[in-house]
Formats: sequence, structure tokens, C-alpha cells
Amino acid sequence: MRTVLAIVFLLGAATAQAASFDDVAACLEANDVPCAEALLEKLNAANDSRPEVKALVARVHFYAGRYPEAYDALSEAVQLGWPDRWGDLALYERTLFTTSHWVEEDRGRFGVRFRPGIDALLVDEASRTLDLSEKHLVPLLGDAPPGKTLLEIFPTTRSFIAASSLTTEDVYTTNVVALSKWSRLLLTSPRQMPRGYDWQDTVAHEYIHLVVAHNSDNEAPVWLQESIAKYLDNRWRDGTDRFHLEVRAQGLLAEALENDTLVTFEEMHPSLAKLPTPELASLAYAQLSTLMDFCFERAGEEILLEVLPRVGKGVDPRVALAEGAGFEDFAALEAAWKSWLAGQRLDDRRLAEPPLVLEGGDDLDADPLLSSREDLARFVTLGDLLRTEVQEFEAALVEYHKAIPDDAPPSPLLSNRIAQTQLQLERPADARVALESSIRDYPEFALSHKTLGTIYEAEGRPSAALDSYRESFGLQPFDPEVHEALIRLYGAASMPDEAARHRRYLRIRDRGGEDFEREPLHTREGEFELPTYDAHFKPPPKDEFRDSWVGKPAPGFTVAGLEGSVLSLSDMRGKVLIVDFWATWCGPCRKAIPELVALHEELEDDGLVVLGITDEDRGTVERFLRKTPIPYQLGIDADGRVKARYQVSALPTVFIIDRKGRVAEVVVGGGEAAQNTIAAAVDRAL
Amino acid sequence: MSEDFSQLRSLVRALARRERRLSAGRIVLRLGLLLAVVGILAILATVLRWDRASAVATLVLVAGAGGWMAVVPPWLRSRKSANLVAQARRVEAMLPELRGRLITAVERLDGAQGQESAAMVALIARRATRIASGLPAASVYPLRGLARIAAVAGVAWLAVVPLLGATPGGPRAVYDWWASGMTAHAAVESHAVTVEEEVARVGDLVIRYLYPSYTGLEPKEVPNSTGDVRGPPGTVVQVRARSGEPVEAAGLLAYDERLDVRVDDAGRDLQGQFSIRAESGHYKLLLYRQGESVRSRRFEVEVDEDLAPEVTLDAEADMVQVAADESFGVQWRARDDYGVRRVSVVLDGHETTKVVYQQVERRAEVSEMLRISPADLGLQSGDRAQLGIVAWDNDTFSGSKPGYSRTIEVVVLGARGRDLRVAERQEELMRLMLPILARGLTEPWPAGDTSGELADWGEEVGHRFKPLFDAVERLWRGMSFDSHDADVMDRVVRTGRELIRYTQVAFTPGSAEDPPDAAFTVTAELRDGAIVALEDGILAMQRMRYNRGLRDVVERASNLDDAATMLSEQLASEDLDAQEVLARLDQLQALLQQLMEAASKMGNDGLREFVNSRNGEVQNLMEQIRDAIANGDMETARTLMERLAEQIHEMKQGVSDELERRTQQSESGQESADELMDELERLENEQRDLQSQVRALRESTDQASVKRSTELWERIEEESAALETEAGAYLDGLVEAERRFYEKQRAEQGVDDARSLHEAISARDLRGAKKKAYDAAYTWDMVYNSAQAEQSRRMQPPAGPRVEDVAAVRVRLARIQALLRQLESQQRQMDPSDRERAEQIEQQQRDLENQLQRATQEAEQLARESPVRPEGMSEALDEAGDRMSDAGEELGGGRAMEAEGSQGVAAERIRDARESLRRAMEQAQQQASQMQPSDGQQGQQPRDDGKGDGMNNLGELEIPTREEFRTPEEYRRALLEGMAGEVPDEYRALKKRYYEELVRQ
Repeated sequence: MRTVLAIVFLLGAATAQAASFDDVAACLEANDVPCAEALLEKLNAANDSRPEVKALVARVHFYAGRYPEAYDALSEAVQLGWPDRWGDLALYERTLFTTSHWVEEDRGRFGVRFRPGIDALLVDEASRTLDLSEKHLVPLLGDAPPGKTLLEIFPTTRSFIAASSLTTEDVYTTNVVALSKWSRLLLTSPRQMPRGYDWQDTVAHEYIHLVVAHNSDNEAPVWLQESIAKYLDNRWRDGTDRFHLEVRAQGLLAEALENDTLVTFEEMHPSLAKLPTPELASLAYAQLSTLMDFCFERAGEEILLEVLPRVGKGVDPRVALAEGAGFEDFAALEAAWKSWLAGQRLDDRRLAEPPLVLEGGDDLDADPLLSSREDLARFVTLGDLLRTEVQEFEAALVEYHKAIPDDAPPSPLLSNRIAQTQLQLERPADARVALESSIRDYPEFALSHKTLGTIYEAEGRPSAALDSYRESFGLQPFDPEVHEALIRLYGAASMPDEAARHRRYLRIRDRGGEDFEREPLHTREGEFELPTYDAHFKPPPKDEFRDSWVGKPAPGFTVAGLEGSVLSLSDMRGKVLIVDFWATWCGPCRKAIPELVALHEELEDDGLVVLGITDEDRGTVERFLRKTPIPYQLGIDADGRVKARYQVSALPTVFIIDRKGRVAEVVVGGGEAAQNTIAAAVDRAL
Repeated sequence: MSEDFSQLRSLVRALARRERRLSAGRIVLRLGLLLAVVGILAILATVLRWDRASAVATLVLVAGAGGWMAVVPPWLRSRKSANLVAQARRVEAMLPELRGRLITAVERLDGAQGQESAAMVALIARRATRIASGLPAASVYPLRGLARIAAVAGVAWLAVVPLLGATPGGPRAVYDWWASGMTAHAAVESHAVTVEEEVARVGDLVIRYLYPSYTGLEPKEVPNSTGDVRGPPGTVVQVRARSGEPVEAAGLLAYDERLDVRVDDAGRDLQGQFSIRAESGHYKLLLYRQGESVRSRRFEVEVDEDLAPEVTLDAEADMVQVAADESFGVQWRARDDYGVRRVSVVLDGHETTKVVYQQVERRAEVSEMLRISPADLGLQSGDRAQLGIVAWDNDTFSGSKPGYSRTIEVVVLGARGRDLRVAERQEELMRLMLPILARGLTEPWPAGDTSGELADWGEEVGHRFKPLFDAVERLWRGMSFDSHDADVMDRVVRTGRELIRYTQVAFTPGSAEDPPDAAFTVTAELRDGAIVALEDGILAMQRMRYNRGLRDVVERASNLDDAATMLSEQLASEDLDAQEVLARLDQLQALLQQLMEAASKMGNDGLREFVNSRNGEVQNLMEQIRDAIANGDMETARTLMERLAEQIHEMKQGVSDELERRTQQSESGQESADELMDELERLENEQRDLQSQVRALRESTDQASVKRSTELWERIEEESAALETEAGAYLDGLVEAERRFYEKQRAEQGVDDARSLHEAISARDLRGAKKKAYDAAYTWDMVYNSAQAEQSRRMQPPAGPRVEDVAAVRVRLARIQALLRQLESQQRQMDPSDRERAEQIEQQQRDLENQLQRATQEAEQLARESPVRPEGMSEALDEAGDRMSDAGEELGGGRAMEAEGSQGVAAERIRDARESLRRAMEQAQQQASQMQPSDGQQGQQPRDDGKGDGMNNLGELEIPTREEFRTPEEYRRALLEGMAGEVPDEYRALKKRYYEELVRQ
């Protein structure tokens, strides 16, 4: 009896302990670091030598921003046999070395971390943004995550990439400059983007993600997260709804509605940052923010207080949102939203997206139109030379006007140039006219607001000038001319505190930092490599998978060809076959395509057949092929049956099937080594 | 992978070795054969007693040519054997199943190229090795050829032995014959002379000078000569004299040498000759009579000395500073009494192998502009040398003499010095071009209403351009920079000059008359062209400035980074003295300052902001380090130094990324352009192929049909000629009768239409003729209406032509239209199979047109993205598209001949577009090359088109004054009157071209 009781007790204790470690993870998922820390302490995890526990401890440290401890703990876990399948150790290491010598400004509920230097200028503004966000946004979403929330300002794009889970390609493709992850906010310093960006809205945006994840137990899908964040991120200042879809986004949305080419919710996974083009990312944001705008309009300001907890409890987010907005199902919500959009009189002009230019580059590179139109940019350069080198302003205007495209409004940079020249010709009214529409179209151009401020000053309108310079400061806080103007105008308006604030900012900017020293967070230094797709991809033990296939007969299959044909394995007997399981969204798959094309072209006559199989829909594949033609055969495995039959769990997975129909080789993943293996196997089989 | 490649390498190297051995064997055997042949020839010459000179010539010829043939081809072949790709190609030719793999693999023995997959390359190598290793080297290079030569050589040597045996006298005789021939010299008989004191009496002296050929002088005869002679060395002096008494024999003693003299039968007339030597001397005549000899008086021989050539060198200054690969020009002139044989460059007193003139025909004076680069003379950056010219005269008698020019110092600039000078030059040019452009953009246009005002404007434009022209002339005078900026300026100057000259020709100063429309149009077009050229010029200079600036920033950032890293490492590892650290920090500070200055020159630019924004942080850290050192806290200084090094590295990385991005952009643009050029080339070739097919089709069609068409054309042409005459007569009648204005005006239009119609018919342009006929019919309807109205308005018929005359013209026009329709129908009647073929070609033509449209879109996109505008590319492609469309229609209408013409034009225009794109890309590359590091020789690459005369045209830049350039008044008047009338559309372009050509003259 005592034995039975002992067994029951032990089982119970084990179950309780397992559940507790799960709870730690759950706390982290809900961005509740204090909860995770408390549980760890309770479980005496510090004295637990099991690798999985050490890994969990490392994770908690990482979420809490204690990078040396996180790295050391995970290193230990890995040494003890913890399978680091997702490359966490590399991430921790990159984060550790990236944040070496950083300092933290403690602002109560928030901590702002940065590298000592001119980013100190951002601390006050950032913490004010977070405070106001908490005050005005959290009541719409539920509770704020407990404990201190950290905002980390990365001084370079490289350091941001290093500490994020994004690749360089992701960042430059979709213009991502901030991230909310691991219970922290990661932000690229606006100094990295000379044209400026609405970095305070971005801070609020990322904070909203954190709050939404917390209130939905991290169950809110990306589309719901983004729709909330994008819709609400303008309210942080005073809680007033200033949501207005940007003109550019309106054009994208109008076109997509007309052509029925909206981004699907599936395509938005796993992140909007993973969408293939900046236009699609912008379109997705436009869709999501207007969807939330519609829901708020229908159900009122408290809709999310109802929706998020339901999502957290496992209700389908679509259903939760639709019901929250008073619809029977999501289809009805979607239909009503589309019909509502149709009545919104969207501006259907198609304006170019501004490219993301980080670190250097000339003014033209940051312009949405001129960056890709050398034929127009040349006139801007000529105008600049006439204006700056020989002070021929009228002639410069002639050149600038040549740079206005026939079928589109002038680019923001060009509008600025025209306005600046008009101002030099002492025609401020003309200058203002030249700029106003550009500010509507491209409000994130800090230069436009600065120029407008100069115009207002010339017109003797200090109050309007002050507003414009403030706007400019909000977008690009490092411009010394803007600070000087603000000091001047605040001084004239008898606002000494504000003037003093900007004097301080200017001093920080000119002196390259603050005058006082802070203790660094840590001083661990080292070299690291930036993440790549290949580094991200840590397939499960693939040797086992491979060994289970090689030498066995390949299972038969039939897939639909792209041109209506039917492709089956039996028709290809007698040939050496490469079956590539791939998808258009899969980076390593895309990278492998040129290699497969080369093999196809080289060895087709020798009896090699290359067949790509994807479970995506035909339209997606055809769209992809328009940009990247693939000469070998492609099959659509619409229901994923073939993929399942071949037990494919990672992409790309390549099977090489010999002339007798046996699997000669299986290669999981991309990269040079994989390609070498494929080539060698094909050679053997031929 | 390496194993496959090493196997492959051994394979092809074995082939190369074998080929080399075979070649060596071939040389030896061929030489052996040649020796045998020469021997046989020598024996034959002896036996057959050939003329010795011919024998020697033959032998030398055979030995020379044979030696060449025996050695050179195998030697060349042996040299080529080292080319492993060629070996691979040979194997590929024998094993078609390799399908190019061996070549591909051999080309990549050192690894995959560019973005190629290493795996693929290894695979290819493996497969190639497998197939090729089965082929023995002996079957690639068999011994058969060698064996054949050995056999022939053996036979030849076997023939030598019996031949020698059969020779009379044997081998010794052969040797003697050849040996004696070499040394034999005609013996001269000599009299034993007893010199008497008596002076022989000679008179009637006639001297004839035969000058040496190098002097180029004609022979000269001097009758009644004193006997004294004078001439350049080598001159043959023929002396004719008459003896006072008959003599038996005579001689001539010149320069103490006795020479024969011919005596006539009567023993009175004497004739002898001698050559003037290098030094002066004398000669005498010797006369023999009855065993006694007497001599004449002494005649003086005086030498006209051939002086060394006189050489001048014309250079702006005594020193030329130039980059190693940059060419400069010096004008030289060489003069000699009798001719210059060779002119070479002298460097530091030594004649170089750089020959700048080699005599082909005798020339006493030679001059040329020498364009040469220091690299051509073997000079390198940093070298200084005295450069001069040496000319050698053509004195073949006493030996060629050199004459030297003065020297100038050539200072070879290093990369940085060269860059600096190029930068200064470009800055100056840009500074001069900008105001001209500004004025052009802002001045009112039209610049005047009258011819006089426009002439004044033209003069003002001349003044406007003058500083630029002067600068260009100064910068490029005597120097030929084969560089991009020279090309750019060439265009700016050319277009400016065209504009100025044209206004001087087309407008009359002080005239209050309206300018002719055509002149006005041409002026506007030339003005636009000049503005565009200025814009392109300024942009090119600006891009090069930017790229140079970027490179400079990167270099300085890199220097700073290196210095910071070094200091950081030293601080970490050594116990450095604080003062030394401070000194090094000062050095860092100076480097940072240099970087800031370089960045500040980048103009309005994000990169400058990037560097500026980081400057504060770096300065701040330096200050903190100094403070730490001052406080004796070296540990903190070390930590801070590490941070400083890191931040500087970050800064350097940022600017390097920018450079890399721009380089990539440039390369990617080049790749796209290359692809497009390939596509255009394909389209051009396909278009030409289609044209050939149409030609073949046309030539194969029924000859009778062709004949009928020809006859019809001739009839129509006769009718149209008659129409033109009738129309002209009608108009003349109206003018003579002073009929109403509107009648005349319409008739004038009718006459123009008739002329245009006749011209279209003469050109056998069916489509054009139909359109012109239609236009003419409409106009003549109008003429008819006005004639009728005029008649009905009056009581009496008006004077001059009648309505019936117009009716006759209209009837003829209707006839012409009918004949044209008949011709069209005639051309449509084709054999069904030909028709089918024509339809196929038409379809192909349409496909090609579609492909061209796609290429045109790509080209437009590329033009939008390209930093240098491909001038005329879009226009050329548009025209090509139009002509392809015409060709399609013409094929559809069965008008093969017209289609063929359209196809030809389309292909030409595609080629023009491709050429335009190529030029633009070349210029873009030149501009991008400024981004390359300046420590190499890459900054200003010489052009590789072999022209090397970037600014040739600029040597004659002077713009003539208005008066100087004035054309004859009557010509101007005829020209302007010709321009006054309305011009048919199709001639407008022709007319414009005519004027353009005119001003270019």
C-alpha cells in the first residue's frame, strides 16, 4: 500500500513539475517575464542540471534582457546535449555581442537601452511614447504585460538584424525597422534612415503587439496582431483616433480591390516581413488596418476587450473578431468590410513605395520615384548643380520641371527641390504650393516638413512653422537644422523649457552623446555572422530520414502538371528523376532553383528528369513563374498527398530516384553542401 | 571534386605534351629535309653552271622560305599546345558525346566561375573525365604525319649522295665553284705608268653629274666646264674631254686611284668617270701616246656636305605631366637636304624603338603630331625622362646621320596625381558649362522675330560658348586624353559649334526680314541638341566627381579604420607610453578630419550625413580616452579604445557598403544591357534572315509577272510626268493672267502634289504613290471648284487657263489612280505556293515585331534606369517597329519588293539602337570606373576601340567670325529662298539633314 502511495506521489510530483515548466514557457508566450522568473525560482531551476531546464532558464534570461546569463546558460545546455534546433545559441550570441557596452535608462515601467552615443537623444521621446501608449492604448486591449518592458534601440541595421530573427533580405524587402519579440521591443535608430520615419508610431506599434500577445496568450495570429497595431498606433499621443489610410496605401488597396488581388491571410503568415515585396506588405497593412477600422466603427472602442481573451481561450480568431463585430461569420465580416471600403472613396492614384535606404546613399536613393528613374533623376541632379554651384535658380526650376513624370505627381524629393528653389527666388507661396500635395502623398518625408517649416518662417507664420518643424523632428530627430529652428521658434514663443530640450538634443547630437557616464549592461565582445535562411533552417535529424529512404522503391504518385497534363512516376520509369518538394515562399527552395535548372539543362539528354512538386495553388505558382521562369516540369500536389506520402516535413526536400525507380538519395535543405550531394547522386544514378 | 579536376588536368596536359613532342620532331625532320634540298640545288647549280647571282638568290630563297616553313608553323603549333581548352576542343571534336562538357570543365580547372555552382562544375568534370579518359593520346595526335616527313627527308638525303658522285670534279669542285664565286672580282688591267711632268692638253670639258639616288636630284650636265667638280658624296662624275693630240689610251686618276678612260677611234675624244667621296680631293686625266704618258692639270673635287637633319619639337612647355597610360601629343618636324630616312623617339639621350616615321619615298621634310603615352615608352608612375626626337638622313653613301631635337621633360604622374589633375580639369569644365546651360534654359525662345535678331542671338551664343571652347582647346592642346571626358566634351563642342555656325549661315545681320520657317526649325533643333549635350556633359562630370568622391571617402575611412584597429590592438597587448597613445590619437584625429573633408565634398548627400552623424560619437570617445589617460586610467582607455575602433569600423563598413551597392548597381545595369544587346542582335539577324527569304521568294516568282509590273510602272511614270507638266502649265497660266490669289494658291498646292506623286512613282513606292495620288486628286478637285467659281462669277470667261484644262488634269489623275490599282492587283497575283510562303513569312514578321515590342519596352526601362542616356536608341527602335509593321502589311499585300526594303531598314535601325546602347553602357562604365581604387592603373582607362583620338576634332576649334564664315551672297539667297516655301513632310527630314551637313562642312 505504501509502495502504491509512493508511486502515486511520485507520478503526481513529476506531473506537477512538468506542468510547471510548461507554465514557464506559457508565461513567456504571454510576455509575462516576472511570472516565468517566479516559477523558475519556485522550481529551483538554478540547481537543476538537466539540459532542457538550463535551456529554459536561458530563455527566461533572454526574455528579461540578461544576455550574458542567457548565453552562458544555453551554452551549458547545449554542451549537456540540448538539441539547439532553431539556432538559439547563435541568436543569443549575436544579441550578446551586439549589445556590448550598451547602457539602460530606467524609466519605471519601461527601460530604454541603447549604445552610448547620439541615440541618447531618443531616450526621452521613446519613453514618453511608451508611457502615453500605456495610458491611451492599453485600456483598449486589456492589461499591460507585467514587469518592466525593454525598448532596445539599435544603432545600425546590421546590429538590428543580428539581434532579430530576420535576415538582411527580409529587412530590405519589406522595410522592417522594428520588431516586438521575446517580450522586448527592438527598434532601428532613425539615424539609420536619412529621410526619416515615424519611429514613435513604430514604438507604439510594437508595444501594441506586446500587449495584444499578452492579452491573447500569444494566440492572436499575425493578421490580427498587425490589424490592431496598425489601426491603433497613431493614438498614443492623446488617445484620439487619427487613423487615416495613407494615400499610397489607398492606391494599393483600390487596385487590389478592383483586381481582386488582396493578400490572403495565409500569405501573411508567419510575418508580414516575409512577404515578397514592400508593396504587398503595404497592401497587407492597408487591408488589416481598414478591417480593424471597420470593426471599431461597427462594434465600438471596446471590441478588443472581448475578442482578445476569446482568442486566448482558443476561439478561432476569425470567428472571435466577426462575432465581436456583430457578424455571423468571418465571410460576412469580410463581405461587409469590402462593401464598406467601396464606399470610402479611396484615392486610386498608384504612388511608388519609398525604398528603404539605410546608412548613406544619396537623396535620390531614398526617393520612391527617382530611385528607379534615372531618366528623371538626371534633371534633378542638373537642377541641384545649377542651384548650388552657380546659383541659377530659374534655370534649376526648368530642370526640376523636366523631372516631373507625365503620368504621376512629382516625387517628394523633387517637390522639396522645387519648393526650396522657389523659396530662394523669394516666392514662398509658390514654394508652399509645390510642397503641400507631396506632404499628403508622402507624409513620412522629414525633409518635406522641414522645408515647409522654412517656408512658413519666410511667410512670417511662426506657429505653422513650429508645427512643421515638430513633424520633421518626429520623423528625423537627428537633423541639427531642425533643432536650431525649434530652439529659435520656441524661444520666440516664450517656451523656454522646450527650447532647452532641443538645445540639449542638439548638444547630444553634436557631442556624440551625453555628458555623463552610465554603467554598461555588459562588456562581452566578439565577432558574429549575420543570420541567413540557411542558418535559420535547422532540419530535424535528417540522416535518419535519409537512411530510411535510400535504396527503397519510390512510392508512386500522380500530380497535375501546370499546363493541364498529368505527371506520374510510372511515366518516368527508366529515367533518373529529381523530385524537388518546394514552395514559392521558401527561400532555400528559391535559391536551389538555379542549380536544378542547371542540372536539367545539362543532363536532360542523358535521361535526367527534374520535377518540382508544390502544394501551393496554381495561381500562386503561376505568379511566381512570371518572375522566375522554371524550365523543368512542375506539379501541383493540391491536397498535399504526395508530400505526405514521401513524409516531407521540411522544404526543400529532394529525392533522387534512379532508373529502376529506387530512391538513390534524399537531401533535406538547401545550401552548397546539399547541391553537391544532389549533383553527385545524379551523376552516380546516370 | 579536386580529384576529378586533377585527372582532367593530367589528361589534357598529356595531350599537350604529346603535341609539343610531335611538333619538335616535325621541326627536326623538316630541317633535315630542307638541308637535303639545298644540297641538291647547290649541286645542280654547279653542274649546270647557272648564273652565280641567280644561283645564290635561288638558294637563299629556298633556304629562307624552307626554313620558315620548317620551323615556324610547328613552333606556333607547339606554343598553342599549352592551351588546355584547345586540347579539350580537339577531344570534343573526336568525341561528340562529350557535348561540350570537357571544354566547360577545362575552362573551370581553377574553380567555378562567377555565380556558377561548384557542384555542377564538378559533375560536369566527372562526366567529361569518364568519357575522355577512354581516348588514348596517340589517337588524338597520331604519328602518321611525322613518319611521312621522315620518309621524304630520307629519300632526299639518299638522292644527295649519287648526285655528288655524278658531279664532275666531285664535291671539291662544287665547293670551289661556290667559294670562288663569292670572292671573285674582275681584275683591272693596268698600265705601268710613268708619270711625266708634262701636262697633257685637254679641252672641251663636259662634266655630267649623276647624283646618288638618296638625294633625289636629277642628273646635270655642265658643258664647257672648267673641269672642277662639286657635288654630294656618292655623285658619279662623268668627264668628257678632247685631247689636243691623238692618244692611244687614257686613264683617270681620282683620289689617287687609277680608272679607265674610253678613247674613241680617232684617239681624241676621252670619256671617263669617278665618284665623289666624302672628302674633297682632285682628279687628273692621264694620256698615253707612243709609250709615254702625260697628265692633265689637277681638277678640284669639292664635296657638298650632306648635313645632319634639322629636327624641331613643338611643345607648349618644357615639361609634360601625364599619367602612365595617358597619351599626350608633341608636334615634331624634321628637315634634311636630301631626305629623312627614319624618325624615332629619344629618351634620356638614347634612341628608342619607337619609330614615328619610316621613309617609303624620299621626303626632305616630315612633320607629324606624335601621340604617345609614357607606358608606350616603358615609363612608369613616378619616372621622369627627357624626351626628344631623332631624325636620320637617307645618306646611303657615307652613312646615315642623326639630327636631334630639343628635349622636353616627361613627368609620369602616379594614380593620385593623375586623378587630381583629371578632377581639376573636370571641375573647370563643369564650372564653365553650367552658366551656358542656365542661360540656354532661361532665355526667351524664340530669341528673335527677324533674321537680324536671330543673327545677333547667334553671335551672343558664340560669346557664351567662347570661354568653354577656349578652355577645351587649352586643356587638350597637344594632348590627347583618350578618356571619357574628352568624348563628352567633343560632343558639347561639336553641337555648340554647329549651332553657332548655322546661325551665321542662315540669318542675315541687320535684316528685318522674317526668318524662313525651315531655318527657324533647324535652329531650334540645333539649340535643343546643344542644351542636351551640355546637360549630358555636366552630368557625366558630376557622376565622375561623385564616384571619385565616394572612392575617396571609402579610402579615407579605410585608413582611419586601419589606424584605429592598430592602436586598439597595441593598447591591448603592449604597455604603451601614455604620450605615445596621445600622439596616435592625434593622428587618428587628423585622419578623421581628412575623412570629414572628403565627405563634405560629396555635395548634398546622405553619405555625408552618415559620416557627419557619426563624427560626434567618435570625437566624444576620443575625448573620453584622453581624459582616461590624463587620469592614468589605462584600463578604461583600453576599453574605450576598443569601442572607438568598433565604431570607426562601423563607419567604414557603412561607406564601403555604399560603394559596393553602387558598384553592384553598375554591374547589374551592365548585365541587363548585355542581355538586351544580345536580344537586339538576335532580332536584327532574324530580320535580315527574313529579308533574305523575301528576296528569295521575290526572285523565284514569275518573271513574266515582274515584267508586267515593270511595264505598268513605266506607263504610270509617263502619265505622272505628263501630269506634272500639265499642272505646271496651268499654274503658269494663272500667274501670267494674274488670276486671283486663292486660285493660284490652290494650283500651287496642286503642282506640289503632282511633283510629289511623280517622285513617289519614280521611287516605285506603290503605297506612297497611292497616297500622293489621293492627295493630288483632292487638291485638283479644289482647283477645279475654284476655277468653276471664278468662271461663274464673271460675265466673260477669265483670261488664262480654262476649267477644261483642270478637267484634263483630273482625268489624267484618275487614269493614274486606275493604273496604280491595276499594279496593286498585279502584285497580289502570286502563285498559291508562293502566296502560302509569303503568308508564313508575314506571320514570322509579325512575331518578330511583337518580340521587338517587348525588347523596346525593356530598352525603355533600361534607358530609364541607366545613368547615361542611350542617345537615339528609342527613336531607332520605334522606327524599326514601324518598318516591321510596314513590312508585315506589304507582305500581306503581296508587295515583296517593298517589304524587303522595309525589312532592311528595320534591321538597320535595330543595329543603330544596339550601337547606341553599347555606347551608353561604355560611357556608364567609364564613369563608374572612377569608383575603382586609385592605387592601381584603373582610373582613366584608355579606350579600347583603337581610335585613341578623343579630341581630334578639337584641334581646329576656332569659330570663325561672322564675316569670315559668310557664304557667297547668291548662294545664301538661293538657300534661303529654297527654305521659304512649304516643304512636303517627307522632305523635311532630308532638308534638315542637308542644312546640318552644310554647317558641318
